[in-house]
Amino acid sequence: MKHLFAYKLITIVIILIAVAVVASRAQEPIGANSSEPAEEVTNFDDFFAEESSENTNGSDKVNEIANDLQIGVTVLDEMGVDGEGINEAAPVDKKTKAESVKVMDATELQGSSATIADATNRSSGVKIRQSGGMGSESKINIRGMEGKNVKVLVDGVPVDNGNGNFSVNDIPIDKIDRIEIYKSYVPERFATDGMGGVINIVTHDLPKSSVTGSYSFGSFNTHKASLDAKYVWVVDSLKSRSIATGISAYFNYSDNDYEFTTPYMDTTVTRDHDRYYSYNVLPYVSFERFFFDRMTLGVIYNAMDKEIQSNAHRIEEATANAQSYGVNLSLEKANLFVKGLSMGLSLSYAFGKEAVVDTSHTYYYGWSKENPRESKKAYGEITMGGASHIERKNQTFVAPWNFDYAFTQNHILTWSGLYRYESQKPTDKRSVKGQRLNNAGFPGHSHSLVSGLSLENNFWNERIQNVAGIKGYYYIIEAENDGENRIQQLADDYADNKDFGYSENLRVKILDQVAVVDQFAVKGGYQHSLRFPTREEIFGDGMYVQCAPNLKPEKSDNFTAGAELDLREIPLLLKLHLEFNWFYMLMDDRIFWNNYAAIPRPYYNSVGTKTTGFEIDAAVDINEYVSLSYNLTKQDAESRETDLAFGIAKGLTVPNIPTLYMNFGAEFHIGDLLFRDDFFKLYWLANYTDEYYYSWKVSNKQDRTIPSSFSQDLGVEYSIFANKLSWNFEVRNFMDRLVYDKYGESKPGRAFATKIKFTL
Amino acid sequence: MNLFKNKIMMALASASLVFGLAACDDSSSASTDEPTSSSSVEKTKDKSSSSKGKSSSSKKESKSSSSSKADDKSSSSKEEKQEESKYVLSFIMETSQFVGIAPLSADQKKVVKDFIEAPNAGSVAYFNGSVYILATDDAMNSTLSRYEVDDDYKMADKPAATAKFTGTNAIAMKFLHTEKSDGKLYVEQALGDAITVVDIKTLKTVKTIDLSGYLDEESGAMSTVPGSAVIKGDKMYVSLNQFVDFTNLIAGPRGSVAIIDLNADEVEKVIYTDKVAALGGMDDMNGTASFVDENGDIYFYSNASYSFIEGYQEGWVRIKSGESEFDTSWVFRMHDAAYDGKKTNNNSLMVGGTYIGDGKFFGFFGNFADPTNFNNYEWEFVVVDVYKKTVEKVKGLTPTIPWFAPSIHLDADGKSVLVGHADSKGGAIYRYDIASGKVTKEMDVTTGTAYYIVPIVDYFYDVRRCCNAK
Repeated sequence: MKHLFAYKLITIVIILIAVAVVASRAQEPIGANSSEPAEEVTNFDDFFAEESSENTNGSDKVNEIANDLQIGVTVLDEMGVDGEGINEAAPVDKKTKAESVKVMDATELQGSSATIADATNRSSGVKIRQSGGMGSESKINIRGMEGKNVKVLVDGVPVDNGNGNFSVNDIPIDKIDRIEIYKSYVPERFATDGMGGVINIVTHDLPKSSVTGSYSFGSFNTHKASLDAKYVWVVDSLKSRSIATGISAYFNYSDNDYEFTTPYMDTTVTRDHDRYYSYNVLPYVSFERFFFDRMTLGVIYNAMDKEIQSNAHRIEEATANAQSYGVNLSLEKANLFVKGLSMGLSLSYAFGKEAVVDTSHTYYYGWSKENPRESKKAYGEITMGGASHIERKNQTFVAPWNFDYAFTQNHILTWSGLYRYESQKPTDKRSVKGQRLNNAGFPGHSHSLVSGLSLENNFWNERIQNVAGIKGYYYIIEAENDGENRIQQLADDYADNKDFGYSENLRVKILDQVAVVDQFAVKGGYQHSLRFPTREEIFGDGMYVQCAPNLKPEKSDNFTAGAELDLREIPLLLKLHLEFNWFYMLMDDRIFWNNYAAIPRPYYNSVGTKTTGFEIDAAVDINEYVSLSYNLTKQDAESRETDLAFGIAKGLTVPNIPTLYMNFGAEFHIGDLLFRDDFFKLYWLANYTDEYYYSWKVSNKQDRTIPSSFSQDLGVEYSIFANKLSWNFEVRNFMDRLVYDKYGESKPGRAFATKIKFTL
Repeated sequence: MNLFKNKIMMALASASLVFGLAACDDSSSASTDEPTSSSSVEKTKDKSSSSKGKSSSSKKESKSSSSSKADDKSSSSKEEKQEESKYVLSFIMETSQFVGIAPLSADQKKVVKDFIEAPNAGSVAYFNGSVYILATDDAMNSTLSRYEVDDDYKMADKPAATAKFTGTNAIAMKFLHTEKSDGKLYVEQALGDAITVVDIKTLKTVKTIDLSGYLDEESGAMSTVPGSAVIKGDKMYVSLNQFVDFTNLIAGPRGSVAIIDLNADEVEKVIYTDKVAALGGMDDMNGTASFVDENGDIYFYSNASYSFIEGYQEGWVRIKSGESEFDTSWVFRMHDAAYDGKKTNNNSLMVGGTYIGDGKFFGFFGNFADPTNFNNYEWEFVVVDVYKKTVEKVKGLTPTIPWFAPSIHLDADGKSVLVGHADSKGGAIYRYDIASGKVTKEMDVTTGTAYYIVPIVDYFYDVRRCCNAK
């Protein structure tokens, strides 16, 4: 097996080198590029290709313009520090066409009060299930894989930084340029582990001195506000040197007091004690064209405070809060030492603390206030008798980098990497007071290094596009035995591992502007990927989860194939886009924790799963005013081996994963309706999710299901002054249907939100 | 983590429903070899058992305790059915358990497709023609359901009656057989510090026995969780897990048992012992940690919260027949017993177990001091002899990976033990012959893991033992 792996690895490396060498000498016809419309130029690579049609050798001017474009892209660091980062190396570009990715243009959503989860949920292959209102946990499922197998990145850097106080939904949609959803594929250039896919949130920057902001108000006393201000001092106009300074901030608040029902209750109740707020402030200063094309220094402060509520019984006192501080330095330079070599490097450090306080003396059975249980001692509300007061101090240092070398305008080699250090120091405040054993988990730290090499090739005016890559992983995780009194002591305090992943993606455009066919393309991809075990999976929590130092990473072999067809000006329709994608994923060494067996119990590598499915996407512009969209996802995950010990037979459907869902959309829009440069939009969005099982499907009489649901939203939006001032009103779930994301826990019913956004 | 805690609590305590499942009235004249009531029925059962060379429960036996149906059951066709003993079986798979009736000779993978689904935390019992499922969801809200069983041993798809208990994690129940009525059902409200008496048919609450007034504040307890229980005569002896730390499942430093008068359904007294830490287990679904022997002596086990706390003492203690206090002259410390050639040291009896007669208890060991034990997921089956104060490993059964409280059941004839088991080679139900110590496989379990293996009899032969004591 090792030989086979080595063979594969060597083969891929040889192919990469060979293709790179050949590509560097390739002379391809490029004249056809000139036919691409100017608005297609969205990034460095596209622009480069565009310009190359006029100047095949490239030029300093081209590079200069390219650099200008780079500067036009805003990148947040891991903690959300504004400023140019290296991760513009992960933009929507040619390579993404060959990859298994769906790109959502968030600029169209900036006027709405939708969250990132709302927007992402409308994509095929993605299902985000939330456990409550604002500030609640979101579980992202991409093509049947979820949880730790799916990575969320902001501008190419994973945001799951261990600080626990950073919620993706906290980022206002106003700040988002696009959302890239990589499905069954984790690009090497992101230099992160993960198997199911990636959601990469790409933020944007203000292009010049300006101020933009928004405020929205909605049901459940929900308020969201954001503000971005930037001022640019031109230091040397000839050398394009400037210093930009600015501040970015947001504030989110909600009472989350919606009505809901659970199977534990016979009646509907209104939640209370579920208030959530978060805010973020990040001033920054950016130096442009002072040796580096851009050097940005930013600091950040994040804070969150949340009242904790349960879906099963009343909670009145338990809270959680978190604060963190961070600093970020990012550097970028094009044509570093040699023409065509561009680099990006970022250094980020953050520290923070989080706390959960559950020390109430009163516990309520169910939701009735009439049935409390009083105690003279702190009793706890989240779990009966489980009073706790736990604090965690965290530190994170992250250093991502990207080096791109363009042999020619159509062949680019990228070396990416991500080094991450994390430390965690938990404290059980009640244990300190001698009130019980320590339940806060083990202190410790970890180092991880992931580095990827990818090669992008575009042949014959992008008729054939190829992206291949390899990725190496290495991590060390250490725990410290702090001598605290716990149920479980550390059996081992060190774990390390290294491994490789690799991928290949190919897209072939079969028809290109033939009659009504704008394009017809097929593509396919393969990736061997893995996911690291986490600290808790390896060392346990000192209480219920036992140490498992020999836990192996999860691995998956993902296969994808698809076809896309774009038609234009066909009878009755202006444009039609059809897309079909198929996927097949074989997971091995599934990290699993059997919560119904003994305690304490370790995670272990269980049997693998097989996930198959397909997606259909359709988008129609009937005319310049009306557009329709539809997508369908069908997926089935099943055990592909028998876990003899736990009776998980081969071929059983993996529980609690949606198997069929659809999204519908219709929009009417018109410009210059009342004034010049105004814009009016009326839209309808709907989602249908089919019933699925909460547990393994073994019986014909199984009735614990997440019921099917159909929810519909309506919205209206109007903007003036070329979108400098916009207003939106939206009604979600306007039919007030019971909708479930989780077993037995209904989501909020009908809700409205309105938003005003301005730019000065 | 709440769910997990729930499961732990569930598991922490379990004990075989067998012991307390039924009790006889004082009016009983049963001997140690005969059941309390309808001795002719038991004789039929014994015949049936011996004819198969193993214990055998049958619908005929169970129904025959109800005189109106006894005659029907004696028909030849029913005798044929008797040849194929059936059990209420439950198989657990992660968040759910699947419950139904089948013989052990059935193809488990096929029969489970016709089983009903219930949350995994909870107990399953058979009593007087009905299957009772008391299951708790993730939020510790419990539902008690009664499913009627027809003459063809088919369990109804829908319950005939249900009752809900909010937030109290009720998963243990005890049945009381009485000659004058259909019986009584006691539901332990683990997190409610109470025992609810419900009507056996309608499941409506008849009375609530409040235990919160017996909080052992001296020990720093926060809750008086009813746990392991036995019914002897007209009294229930129920251990009170005086929890001082729910998060870590640490019960109090001394044992306490509430003695409940089942005629008045009131607490008669609470007795304490300092010889061991808290007795029994919370959510003792199957009566693991308590039993009544043939002499009428009552035994309770304390695992001393798995010896996590320094100074806590583990071991068995007893209440001698006719006494209403602990026997201060007797304790059996399992850590001092020889096991596999050495002291058991930190081994503790885990959940699951059954009394098999002559002072012997069939259960299984886990060792919290040895982390590799957990990493290997191994649990050794043992026979504990409280008379001889010995612990012996059961030969022929490898360590089992899943740790399921209710997976050890005494069969209806009292001659063998049915054991749910799983290791890396697969899952199965085994039969342990008490007399010979031999182990034979009864059923391959390929879907889920064996959870409950309940013989279909109206009440258990253990009654014979309890009723022998005055």
